[in-house]
Amino acid sequence: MIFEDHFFIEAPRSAVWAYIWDPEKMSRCVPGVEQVVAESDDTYSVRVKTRVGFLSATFNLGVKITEAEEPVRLMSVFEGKDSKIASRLKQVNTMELVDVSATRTEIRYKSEVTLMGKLATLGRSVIKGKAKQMMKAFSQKLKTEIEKTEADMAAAKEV
Amino acid sequence: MDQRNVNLSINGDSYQIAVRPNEFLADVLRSKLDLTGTKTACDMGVCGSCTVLLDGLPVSSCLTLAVDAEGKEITTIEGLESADGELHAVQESFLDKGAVQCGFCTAGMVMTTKSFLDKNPKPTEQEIRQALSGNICRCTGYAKIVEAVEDAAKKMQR
Amino acid sequence: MQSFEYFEAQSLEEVVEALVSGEEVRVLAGGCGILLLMKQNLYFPRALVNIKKISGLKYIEQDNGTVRIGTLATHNEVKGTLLVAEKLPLLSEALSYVATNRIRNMATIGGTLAHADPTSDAAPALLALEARVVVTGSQGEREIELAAFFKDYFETVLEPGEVLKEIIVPLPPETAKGFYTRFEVRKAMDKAMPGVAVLIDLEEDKKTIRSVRIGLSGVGNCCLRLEEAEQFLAGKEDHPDIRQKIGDIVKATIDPVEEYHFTADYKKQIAAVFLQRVFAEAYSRASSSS
Repeated sequence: MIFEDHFFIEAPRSAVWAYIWDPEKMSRCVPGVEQVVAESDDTYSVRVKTRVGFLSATFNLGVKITEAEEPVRLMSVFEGKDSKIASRLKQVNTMELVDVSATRTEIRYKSEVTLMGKLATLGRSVIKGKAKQMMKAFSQKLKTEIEKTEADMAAAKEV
Repeated sequence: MDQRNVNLSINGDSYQIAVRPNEFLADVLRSKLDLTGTKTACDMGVCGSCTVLLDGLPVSSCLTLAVDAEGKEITTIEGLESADGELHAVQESFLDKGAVQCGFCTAGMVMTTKSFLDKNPKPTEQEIRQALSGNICRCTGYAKIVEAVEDAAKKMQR
Repeated sequence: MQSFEYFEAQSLEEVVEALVSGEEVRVLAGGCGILLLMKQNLYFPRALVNIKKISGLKYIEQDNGTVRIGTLATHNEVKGTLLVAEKLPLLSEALSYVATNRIRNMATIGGTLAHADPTSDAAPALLALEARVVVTGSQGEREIELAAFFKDYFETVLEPGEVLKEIIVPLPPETAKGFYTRFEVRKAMDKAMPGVAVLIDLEEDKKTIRSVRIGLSGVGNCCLRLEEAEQFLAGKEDHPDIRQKIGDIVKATIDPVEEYHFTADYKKQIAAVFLQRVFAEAYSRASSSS
């Protein structure tokens, strides 16, 4: 499944980059994130609980930044499984940052999601629909967090 | 998970057995009661091979908990022949018309047919096909099965 | 098959007690939804509370200007009642599409609504009939319009300690006629994509639309009413232009997700086609009724 979208963040590109370059910060924006643990400098373990109605799945994902071209392009991979429901997830994300103005950045992302195993039998449209919702929630959280960080920094400067 | 005793009334006979709440009627019939005429194939309620009648109504026994079958009249394929071993008209027609190949769908087809003809004694071919649309057969291509149902309907009207 | 804690309730109060007794407790009615998911190892409730032993929840009766249906009434029980066949034929029609006869003998009308499958057949018909559900929980009873009941894939507005008790369907005017159908390839077990229910009441001239209600399934994460089209159609007569317009409305309203054989665009197109067909048939039935 491929998801493509774009959204704007009211922050300079350097600030956006600083945030997404940090896999720990990025992991915390994943909807349903329960735990983020550093495995090494560039890999993190993330436990994510997703729900579709009354059904739930808890994935243990490894999050890794695979390519970085500061400050314009970032590729990351989320990969892992939920053994209880015998399902695997792999998500390859490409994020492009576009300088709109000194205080505004556009993020264009493309995510390729592969879901295998039992969960995929639920029905592709259900899975894809849910994944689309999660992408939107992720983007929203990312935007909120970055803008909040910017606002906090601006407030600190004024003091 | 604890077992509990249930009374199951099957083909007019009373059985008292211990089952767990997570056991399905199809498995209890086959494994605990030696009534292996009822088959399980998809185990999902789709194929119809597990069809039994509960109070005369066809249900998927693979989706029916054994505890829920208590208090109902259960009819399985074994219950169709008469006390002296005479086959039911539907069973005879299936044999006469060659509507049985591997036999796996047959019990479900026969139970569905019996219940259908009891309610609709003079069906059209289209009605027959509609009635059997929930029973899957991989061997016959359905033609002989439909013929068998038509034949049984005629027999049962006499 | 996995283990679970098993409660057998003898009353709705006991159901509520069981539901609030801990985490992950779910109501078990017909079982065609959740037992299947459990068998497939997709769903692992900690406990199930079986409500089928509760007496007095299978009624289908007329009460003033409504039909009241107990939550445990099965699809075939509802479909086969003279009251429903005569006064709510749209519901009978929709129920005849559900799965197979065996499932219709097992699956309950309350269970199918609480399961909130976005490809339901019963839901669009009940939406077009403006049904409401009665729900009981530890805070007491409440009535919810079906149009406000579905929230997301397999998700309703039911709170954790609540159970669906009854479905109330207001009797439509005698002059109102409806039609339900869905796009399907098989005779049985297919999923609505879309399923469309339209209920139309015409003015005395048998041409002008007094009111219309449209229920859809298989077009997104929930079954829904197409209120914009309903409002547009009020006061109008059937005409190719208005059919075009309601097709445009449904295409603009729904947000379907692409799957193997069908792109999102295709799903929108076919939703428009089926809406127009169902509207045409319902209108024809209404205009030719005496």
